[in-house]
Amino acid sequence: MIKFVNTKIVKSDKEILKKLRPYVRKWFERNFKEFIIHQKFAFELIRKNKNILITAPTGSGKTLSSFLSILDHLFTLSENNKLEDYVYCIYVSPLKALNNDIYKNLIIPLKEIEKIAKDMNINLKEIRIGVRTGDTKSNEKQKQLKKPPHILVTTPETFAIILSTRRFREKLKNVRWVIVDEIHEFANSKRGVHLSLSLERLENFVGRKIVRIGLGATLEPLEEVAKFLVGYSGEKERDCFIIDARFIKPMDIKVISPVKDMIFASSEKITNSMYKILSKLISEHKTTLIFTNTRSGTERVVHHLKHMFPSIFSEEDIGAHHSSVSRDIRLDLENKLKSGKLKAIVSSTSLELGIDIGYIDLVVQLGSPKSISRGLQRIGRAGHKLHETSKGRIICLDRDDLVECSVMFKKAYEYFLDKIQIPKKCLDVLAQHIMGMSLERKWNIKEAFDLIRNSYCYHDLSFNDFVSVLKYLSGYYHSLEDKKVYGKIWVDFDNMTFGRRGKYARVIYSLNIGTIPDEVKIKVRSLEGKYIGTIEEEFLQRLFPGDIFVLAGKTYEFVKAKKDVAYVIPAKEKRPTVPSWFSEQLPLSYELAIEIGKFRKMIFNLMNKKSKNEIERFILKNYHINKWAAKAIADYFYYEREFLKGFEIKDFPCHKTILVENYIDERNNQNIIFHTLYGRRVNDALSRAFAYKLSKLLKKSIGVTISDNGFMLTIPYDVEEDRKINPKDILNLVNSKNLEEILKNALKQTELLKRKFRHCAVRSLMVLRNYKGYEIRVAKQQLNAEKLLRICEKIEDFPVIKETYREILEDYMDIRHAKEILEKIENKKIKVIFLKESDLPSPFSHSLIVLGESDIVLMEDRKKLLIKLHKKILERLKG
Amino acid sequence: MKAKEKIKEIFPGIEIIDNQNAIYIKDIDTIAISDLQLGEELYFAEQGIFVPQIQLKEILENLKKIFENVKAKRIVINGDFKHEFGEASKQEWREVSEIIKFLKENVKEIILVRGNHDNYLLTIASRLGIKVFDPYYISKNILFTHGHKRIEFPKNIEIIIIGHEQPAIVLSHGFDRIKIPCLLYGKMKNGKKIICLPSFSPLASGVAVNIIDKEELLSPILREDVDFDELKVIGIDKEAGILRFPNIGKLKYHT
Repeated sequence: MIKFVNTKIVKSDKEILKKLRPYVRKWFERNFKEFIIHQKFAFELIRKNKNILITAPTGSGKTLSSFLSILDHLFTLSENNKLEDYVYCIYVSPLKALNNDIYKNLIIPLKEIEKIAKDMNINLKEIRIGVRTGDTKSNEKQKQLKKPPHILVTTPETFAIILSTRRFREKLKNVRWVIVDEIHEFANSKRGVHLSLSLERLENFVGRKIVRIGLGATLEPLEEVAKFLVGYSGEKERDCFIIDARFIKPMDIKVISPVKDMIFASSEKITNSMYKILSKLISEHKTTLIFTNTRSGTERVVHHLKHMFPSIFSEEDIGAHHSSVSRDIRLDLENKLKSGKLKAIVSSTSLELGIDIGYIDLVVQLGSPKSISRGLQRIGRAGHKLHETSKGRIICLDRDDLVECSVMFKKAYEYFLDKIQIPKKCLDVLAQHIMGMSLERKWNIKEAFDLIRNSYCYHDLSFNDFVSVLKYLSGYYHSLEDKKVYGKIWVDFDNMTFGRRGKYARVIYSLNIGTIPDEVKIKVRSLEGKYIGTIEEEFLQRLFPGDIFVLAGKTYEFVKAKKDVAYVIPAKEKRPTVPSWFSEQLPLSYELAIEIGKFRKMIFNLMNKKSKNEIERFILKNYHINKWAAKAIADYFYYEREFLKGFEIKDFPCHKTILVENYIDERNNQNIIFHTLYGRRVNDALSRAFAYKLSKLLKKSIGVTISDNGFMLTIPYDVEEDRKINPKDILNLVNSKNLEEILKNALKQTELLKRKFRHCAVRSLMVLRNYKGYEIRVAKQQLNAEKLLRICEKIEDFPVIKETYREILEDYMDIRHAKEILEKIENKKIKVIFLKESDLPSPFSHSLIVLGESDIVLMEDRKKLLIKLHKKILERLKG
Repeated sequence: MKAKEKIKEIFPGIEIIDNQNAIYIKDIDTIAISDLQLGEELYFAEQGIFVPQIQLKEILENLKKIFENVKAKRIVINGDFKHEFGEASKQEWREVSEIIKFLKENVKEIILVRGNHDNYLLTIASRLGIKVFDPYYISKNILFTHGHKRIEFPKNIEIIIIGHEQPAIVLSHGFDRIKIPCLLYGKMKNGKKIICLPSFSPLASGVAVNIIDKEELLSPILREDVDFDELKVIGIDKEAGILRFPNIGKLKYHT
């Protein structure tokens, strides 16, 4: 059972302190004034061997919370000379570069405690801490084998490798505690799914209960995350106590419009003004941490700040910190930060997590962070100490951003968090672990299935799916003699057993484990060599000279590629010729989207009674925003309402009403715009399903543009078949019952499918990253995802394909909520309003129109498509 | 001649067989295919990419369709019968034997022209009792060579047939963009006729000849001995059939 700890009934510090070993107590009293609330509960519960999930802001002493009881226990063993050469506690963190933090949070306290004990004439055997990650050198690993650390600090990937090692895993036989840090980073990703199976494998290996301790910051829903942490024991959910201290830190947040008139200001003006505000904020504070939503954005901000304000910023006091920056530069930046030498640091996601970055007094977010939890996590990096106020400023760059952020941080003050979604039944991750298990020993199939079902992520796994993965791994699809090449395990269905196959199995496993897809990034430069950003290698492969594509919000024409650099020239005002399916943008959460819909409804309703000025004042008063922002929002809604009035429409787009526009653009293309404010994951599903049906109906390929606020279907104009479709006619083509089937068909020819398939193929160990000691890149280029997919699709019930569709529908898209929306349309709980054909789009559509296609749903009938293309090309040559 | 047959015709008496990447030459009663790349899957497996094996099955199915359409006395495999550069693997052996066996049931004579991937082909072929020609095979006025190196063309030769390039063409209009294999044909600088066959392998993705620069072409014959832009293009698709285009120069990719 999952239980919440009642944080109202608290023991006194004295009561806790008296349970500690005297030297530990003394150390605590020397270093801290008092216990933080979650520490008290954690201490008691861990002592009683209970599983716990602690959620509290970053920097609120969670590490101590989890370790205090464990250290106290280890010291007790040490004092009685019972501390053996085994790993007692495993600490799993998403970050590889942990050494600095561990030193500060664990090694220093240990040394201090040991010294106090010595002063008290108590002789303690040393408690060893060891870090083991992908970067750990082999001599260090050897050392750990001889003298295993009592506390092992590691990443999920290395943890899974250790479980399959021949010798070191014997040192895990006595593990009592596992700490999962930054659990919010894991729970919504395949990395977490991977970890959940490692935990079950460990528990199975140890043969008795392991105490699981999860640490997280801002996340929701806590019960689900707790279940994810502890899993099942057979059919029974394991117990877990939740200590909820998420909202103990005061906040000071403001959403800012950088210009007085957001509606009519040029993008240059907005950008310039943003930098001026940014530089002013940085000057007013000691150290500012700036978050952008993309890595390329990070570099741009640093570049512009240095060039626009050379008298304020030098090379030395500002820097960009993200995952593509080299390790040395990153560490150098972190050290400068800690010693207070930096004025500002710009980051995309890498500084979101709890690594120690010293004193930050202001966090600036550029553009919407897209989720309340992420927003709070980022802003929480300011005022690192517990009771210090977290100060955050959000600078928005367009009107939709303003509306979004105003609602987002209003909800943040109300302690409303968006929900994370835990991926389930991922067959690719399962394949990795089955191979890992086969390296441990011979397994009974049923026994292995039971173990896997103990993970929360696999509790509903069907035996058939499990068997399909076993078959896949055993090379079932290949001839008998080729099995030794293709089979990674052997399976004996007569005796219901499986085990390891091949001498390379262990090497393949340890070199290729992991869930994060490796994208080779290609630098994009202007012909003069100026850095513009990066694109994925696969995207480059699809680019032809003359192609126009979108990068970092601007359009460029591709000229040539040389030695891993793509050269482009700016292509202002030109429409993209290839969809930008490599978007780095994070999707808006469904919960928050609904809240923005509610906000729309409230404001539009208010407009019936109040003047524009009154609305502006209302927004300013009730939301945490500046005056310019309030004005921009009021204007934005006002213009949309005026536009709708022109069509004699009284309804307005909100969470209960979907507005559909029929916009004919200057090229005579028909664009059907759906104002479905449900987040991009939902819109992705809806748009592709509608596009597919529309494509079948018109026998044309359809362009799809997707944003968080809606989607647009583009029907390309054709002189011969100038047939406009009535948007009303397509609404009924897709419903909650046929959505999934349609979507699967719609995905078939898309870039999205190819790309996700490649990721799943790598995770399933069908395409290795590393083999026989070298990286596989050339062969991968020869055999692209498209071809691989074409081949695998011919095999029935192929788990890699099944997982690709599952990942797209459930993780990348949100088919569950998309179905819900369609049901609500069917039950008339959501109203759909159609606008007449118009050559003007409504103000709420503008950001969608300038976005450029996200993907193309190709005409399904390949034969017809080819014949049509043939005809068109011949016509073009004639004409 | 019926219109349907006309569309298949490359030169008088030479035509494409049933939407396949293969041609039939009437005068010498010969079928020609090229670049089968047998065993490529195993090559990928050795690189760490474990593609399910489908190639052999598809090649056999396609050959079957060809023989249902055309009865010929001879088949020429114009180089790169198998993929591996090195010693033949077991999979290649099996696949080569299986295909040769099937061919023997359907034609009287099998001619293998040596390609750049066929270093060890001689051993296999001699064991199976098949002749290998290097660098070319001549029948009447027609010369078959793989195309990976330039050769002196005998005087009496009128038509040269090559492979190696694995040509394909990208068709693009509006949102649509598709790549399909194609056959190239036309005149050489020396006045002789040339045909470049597409790859017969279902795994081949092909070189997009209307995208790349002339310098990037794989075959030195195409680079040096012809005006590449003047070659005519025939797209071949299993479903859509034969799509005839003007010369490459006109099809160069423009947006």
